[in-house]
Amino acid sequence: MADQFGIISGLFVHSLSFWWVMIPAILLGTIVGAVPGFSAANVIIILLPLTLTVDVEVALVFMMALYCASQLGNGIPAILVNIPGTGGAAATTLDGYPMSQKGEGPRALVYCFMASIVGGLIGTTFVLAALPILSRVGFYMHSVEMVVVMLFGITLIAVIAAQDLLKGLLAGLLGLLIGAIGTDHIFSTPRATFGFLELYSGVPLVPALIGLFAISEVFLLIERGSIVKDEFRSKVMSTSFGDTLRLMKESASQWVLTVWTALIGVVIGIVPGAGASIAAFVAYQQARTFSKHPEKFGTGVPEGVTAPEAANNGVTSGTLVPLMAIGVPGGSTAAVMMVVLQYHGVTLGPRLFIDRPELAYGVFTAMFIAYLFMIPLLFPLARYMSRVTLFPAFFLAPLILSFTLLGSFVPRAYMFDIGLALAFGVLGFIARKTGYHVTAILIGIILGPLLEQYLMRALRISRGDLGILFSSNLGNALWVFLIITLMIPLVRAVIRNRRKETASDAG
Amino acid sequence: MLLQSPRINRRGLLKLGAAAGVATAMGPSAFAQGAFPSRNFNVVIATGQGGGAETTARAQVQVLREYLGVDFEFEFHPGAGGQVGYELYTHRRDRDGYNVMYSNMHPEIITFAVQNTNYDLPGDVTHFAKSNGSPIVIYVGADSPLQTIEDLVELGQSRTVTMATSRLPHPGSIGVLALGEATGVDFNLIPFGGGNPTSMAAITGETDAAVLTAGVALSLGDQVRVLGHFRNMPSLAGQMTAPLINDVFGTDIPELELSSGWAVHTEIWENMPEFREVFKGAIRRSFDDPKLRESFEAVNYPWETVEFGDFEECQQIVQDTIALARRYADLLRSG
Repeated sequence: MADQFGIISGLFVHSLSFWWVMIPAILLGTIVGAVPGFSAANVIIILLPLTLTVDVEVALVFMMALYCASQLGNGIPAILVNIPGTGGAAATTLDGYPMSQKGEGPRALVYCFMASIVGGLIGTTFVLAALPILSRVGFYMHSVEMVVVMLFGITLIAVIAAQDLLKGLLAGLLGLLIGAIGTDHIFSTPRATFGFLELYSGVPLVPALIGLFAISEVFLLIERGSIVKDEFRSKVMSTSFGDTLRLMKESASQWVLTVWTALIGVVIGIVPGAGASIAAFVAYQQARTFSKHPEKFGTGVPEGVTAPEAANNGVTSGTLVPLMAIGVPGGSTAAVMMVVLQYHGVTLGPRLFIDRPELAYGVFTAMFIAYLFMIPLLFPLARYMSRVTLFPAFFLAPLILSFTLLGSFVPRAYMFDIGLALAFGVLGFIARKTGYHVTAILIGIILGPLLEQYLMRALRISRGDLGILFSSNLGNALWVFLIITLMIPLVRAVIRNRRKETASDAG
Repeated sequence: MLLQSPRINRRGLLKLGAAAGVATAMGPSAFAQGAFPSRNFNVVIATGQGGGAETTARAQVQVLREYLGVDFEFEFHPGAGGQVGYELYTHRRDRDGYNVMYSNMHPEIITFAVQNTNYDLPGDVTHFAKSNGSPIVIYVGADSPLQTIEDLVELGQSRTVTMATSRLPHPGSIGVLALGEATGVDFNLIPFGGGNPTSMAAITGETDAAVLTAGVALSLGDQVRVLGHFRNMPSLAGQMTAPLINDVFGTDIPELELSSGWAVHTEIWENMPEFREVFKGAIRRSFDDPKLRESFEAVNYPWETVEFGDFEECQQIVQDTIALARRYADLLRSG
């Protein structure tokens, strides 16, 4: 144990000497995270010749810093222009963008950076300290338990629908239907693909995300002329570095929410195949449920930015747990990292802690230090980044359109995906103009297939007996927690009504 | 500690950048060495990134790029048990000898045999070189109470046994169905959609056991315990002590393995002799090169499963696998 502490302490100090790798990786990661369609995984692949040439430690530090920064970068366009970099930042748009529209872009960005960095630091520390215990999480989170976790995320549709029940539920249902397109999870039989080969693997997330959010936003932006309303323009312009420091202090006050949602991210990240999208939606749903003012969520409250951002950065360390503890990658980025490190002769897995502890622990210390480097690198940029919201539509619209259409092409290199993004753009525009929530559609598209996959697998194990959904202690505990979570808003509403009645009676 | 012997430091990185710039300016013609090949090969893989096919393909091209003087670019098109990758390769990639496939042969041939596809094997795509063949094995997590394959079958006499498989059209699924048929055990195959989640299911105890390749099981070390295998591979005897399933139960289940290898448009294979000579020749030569072994061992892939198979052997694999898959087609389609 003392040896391990010695190694880890030494590694923290030593990781600092990699500043020359981390700084460019962080800046690159922030940029690729901010451009929809690009991700840490595909950038690592593009830079494969470079990562294979450099020393294994340099490659490792580079990939870790890039991965963490890209997760943070996803939130920037979600806040400023209502375009999440990936599905993991979709929940951030719910409150981040309304904040930007009110001229609070710098504030939202500072909250986003603080939640991401603190969430990442907490997640990394937690994983480093409790890796043996956390590696057992996968032993309990089976298909049955994941069905309930998915339902936590999907209930967000009902939360969104609370503003307009019928339209919200219809939007969510449409998303679930779109999510059902593709081959089924058991027999690989194509469903509703209309003969398009590109749809066999389901509706790809990136073109759907880009269409629903980015392209529809461009159409609306052309109508409106700019993102920030005229009366708030001076507020964005006048933000100083002193304001950034004040906002950093202000955002730090949300540490309880940050810790809670970062840990949600870590635990969900551990389960292979889950990931940042589900973690962010669950975190947002939890933040809203336990908030003192849930009715304000969706109008631009900082908690609505903090929760999903802390969660999706908690995922970054969680997703490495199965890789480091068992040798099985938990997500696509982890899988790509595994391939790169294999070519350096390093096999990730439990043996690494014995054979090369400096590398095994170095994964997490590099991650920790990368998050620390983000503090001086990114916070000063918040006020400049937020000025994007002041750009007139005739600059911003073509820029967003070209970048995002390129982004829709990048992950799979199908021209079909550009057309798909445009089709989703039209759908998103119509939805917004008619009062349907695009986030509800997206939740269905993202979580529908995951829910179906886990449900079908659980039912296959039980040969169709629904009783399996209530067959595990952890699963049952999660069901109870889900019901409590759903009941809380109703109980609160009843109490509020009674108080009002009592007050009016007294009056 | 982390930077004991850096191959590239800050200055090195700048030099590398400068060299890359010069190389780019020189253009591809500077490296061309004759009529074929004169440009990079594009490799279509019908499974996702980070899987076994990528690992073995990249290990092999480390050597091939030296022989051929050009590089290899990879594209991944997973989906529908390989159907997406094959359809895309058949219909949307130029038949010019520079577009090749690296294939997980057995499962992808089984998909062709049991699904409605818009391509024909070997009519559209010809498998011409096998690069490795890993026996199919049944394994459990280290915490499992099952110690032997007999324990598993004994358990199956009292209740249904859940078995994780990568997907239903897979040689492992066929092996388990055949074992069930021979021993009367009711195996419930659960497709987990890939090697990694399949292994996780066994390790975490979500299913009683899993069926996949020896390569995957051995790479997981003491996380798993192999109970039995469907093909004798003497070169693996040192690493795999589990028995041949046919020997244990006196059954006659066909030898099952998962082979990876190279394929190309049939039109090219038949009409472009320089492809056959140069590309296939380079693959054949690479197996006599110690660098190939180093390349596989560098990624912790069991060298014992690496073996060259020529065009005739590949054709035999295609024919046998199609015949076997069609025998179990109803079960693979309906479970």
